[in-house]
Amino acid sequence: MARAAGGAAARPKGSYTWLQGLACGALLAFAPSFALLLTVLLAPAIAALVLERRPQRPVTRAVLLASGAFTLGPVWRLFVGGQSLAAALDLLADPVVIALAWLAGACGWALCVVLPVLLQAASDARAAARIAALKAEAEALRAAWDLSL
Amino acid sequence: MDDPATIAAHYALDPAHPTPLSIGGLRAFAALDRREPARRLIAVATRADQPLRARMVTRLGPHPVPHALTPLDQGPGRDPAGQESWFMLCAAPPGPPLVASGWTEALAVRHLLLPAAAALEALAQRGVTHRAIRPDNMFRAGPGEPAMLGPFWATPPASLQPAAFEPPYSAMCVAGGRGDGTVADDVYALGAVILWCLLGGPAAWAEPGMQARKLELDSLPALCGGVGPSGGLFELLRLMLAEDPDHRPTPSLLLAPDQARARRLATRPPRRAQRPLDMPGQIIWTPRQLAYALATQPERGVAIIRDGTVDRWLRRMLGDGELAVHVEETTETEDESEKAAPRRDAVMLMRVVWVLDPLAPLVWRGVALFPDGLGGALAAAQAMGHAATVASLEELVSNDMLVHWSSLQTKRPDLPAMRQDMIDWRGWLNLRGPMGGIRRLAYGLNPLLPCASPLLAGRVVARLADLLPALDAAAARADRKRPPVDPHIAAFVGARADTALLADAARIGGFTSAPERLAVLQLFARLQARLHPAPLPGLAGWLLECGVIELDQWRGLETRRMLKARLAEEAAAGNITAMFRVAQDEAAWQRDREGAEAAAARAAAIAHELTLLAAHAPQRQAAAEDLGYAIAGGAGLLALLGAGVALGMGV
Repeated sequence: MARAAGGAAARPKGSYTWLQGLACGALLAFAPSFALLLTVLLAPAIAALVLERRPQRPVTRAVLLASGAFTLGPVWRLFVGGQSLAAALDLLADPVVIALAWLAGACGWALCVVLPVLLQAASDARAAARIAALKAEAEALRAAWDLSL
Repeated sequence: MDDPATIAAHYALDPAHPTPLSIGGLRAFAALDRREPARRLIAVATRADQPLRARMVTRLGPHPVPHALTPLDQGPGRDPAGQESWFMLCAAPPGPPLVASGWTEALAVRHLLLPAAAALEALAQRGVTHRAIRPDNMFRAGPGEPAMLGPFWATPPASLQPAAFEPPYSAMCVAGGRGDGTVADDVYALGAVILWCLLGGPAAWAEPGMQARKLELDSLPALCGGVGPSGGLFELLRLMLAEDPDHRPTPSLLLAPDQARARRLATRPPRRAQRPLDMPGQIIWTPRQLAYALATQPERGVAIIRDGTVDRWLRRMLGDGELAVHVEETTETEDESEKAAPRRDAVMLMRVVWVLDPLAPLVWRGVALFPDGLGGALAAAQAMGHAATVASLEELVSNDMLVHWSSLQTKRPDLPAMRQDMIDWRGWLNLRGPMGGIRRLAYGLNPLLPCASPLLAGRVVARLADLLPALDAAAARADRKRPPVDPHIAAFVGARADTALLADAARIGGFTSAPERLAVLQLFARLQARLHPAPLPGLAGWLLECGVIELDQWRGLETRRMLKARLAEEAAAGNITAMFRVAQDEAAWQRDREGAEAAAARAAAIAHELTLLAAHAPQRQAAAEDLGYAIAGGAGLLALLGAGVALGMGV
């Protein structure tokens, strides 16, 4: 386990970047229409990827998955509709396509912002209730027993 | 003492005769026997510095002694002035004390010698000595009536005897330290009384130099003012006043005066030195005078023994080389150990005095006494505040000098037999805590010595059963923040208690810790249960207020409130025994302990949990973020899967 973890840590981080760059380059070279469509529709996720500094990038993941749900349809239509750059531009010309993808990304982001706050509030309320109960119990013990001895 | 006017249940002072009498040097009052109002009695008030002879009273028993006043009963009571005393009741004397006029030899034999000898013989058969035969303690109804010996049980033996009526070896003792002596000492005193009557009560007998004159001249010449008369009764008096008690006739022999008179005393007069030995205030001609001088001036005595003055005087002036050798041997057999160094001189002096005068009492740092007079001497010294004498007596006992001195005695065979008693005395003295020490010794040696505790506020407590009512009565004016026990009461209880009570009393310690204070309550509870079952609300309230019960030791606050209420209830009822039961309820105590331990454990767990809750706030925030992101991611994934499924189904 330690060796595996050590191997992962030793793996050069730049290789991922290089592979990602290679994949993007390949996509641009061999499927520019898909690259264009994905770039536009997943622009919020790309922006989150660039801006987010948290480890594991949970916001990026949520935005990507939510936007991705409304990107699958246009990508499929481009695939069956000739895979040309013009077809991609036609799809992008439809504001509903872009709006849905971006709105979904926004929902993913919003969930990432709101849910932790709500969950923490709930957790704090639960802890405060527990503290109050414990203090009441301690007070009752002090009222019944001389615990100073 | 429920009714202050009552003494020993059946007796009371006669209100018609409130004026105190003087009986044998003690105050006495006319008394009544409520069962027989016609009976003429007196109640003799004892004194704190003169503890009565309790053991002698026990030995006397209930049967009267002919021609002697014997006690009927005893107990505490109040005199007409309201002062509380310990009274001893006896029949009223037949008349006034002896007067020195109108006596002839025949009358003296018939009305003094014979009745007194009969009384002494009866006392001797009970193992009792009188030791208080003197003119003011012998009574008779009038001329022609036999004399009666007065009270001898209300003071220590011979404690009020003037030097004229005591043998020199007894007269030199400290107050109260003369001891029970032997019947020969009574014979001596009787001889002196007869002589006093025949000589018409010479005033010189009351002068302070009588002891010194007796030491120089021997008793009879000294009492007669020079050479003693001869013939007739004086021959018998010569025997009765012999210096050596072995030479005195017995009481049974005195009952036949003619036979007693026929005895010849084959003794040599004491050897006199050619020149005297001068000591400050004393001119010494005889070894007995020297012994007396060494006893009364110990520092000077040690000096003249050490520098050889005594040895030279004995050899050259007295011409008694054998005695000188004996003294020299005594000084050479000293204990040279370092431990013995502080008392080396005192031991040496004690032994030298014994060598010079085998009849002399034990002498220790200027204090002379007989071992059986230790109790009286100690009580007298304590009552009079003679701290130096008390310290000497304490040292005497703690160093086993009584045993040592008694083992040397050949004239008093009863003293070596007291060895075990003396070892017990040392045990009392060395006992740690308030139950031991010099007070315990004083109370132990004087079975009816009243407790001298200031807590008793002047009440006379001579028996253990009287302690609780006295403290109950004193409670109203006592400092109730302090426990009703002090070293005097602890020592008194230690001396009077039986084994079970001793175990309780031993736990009192220094009244400092909670168990020691609770032991005070336990002791009083047991005393009440066994000796005084009546309610004692004053003492119970005192015990409650002084803090012998520490409710703070109970950890349950509700239990404390309940206990406080119950204790107050029992204290109001005067039931100390119930108070102790409440305070010492083992089952309740165990429940309290277990409950407190459980509560303490739960309180600790709560505190730990509260600490954790406060410390884990950042973790809770991180967990909420992680969970929020996970839910958001999960929602996105579900949307993606839904979109994929919808696309696959051609929607």
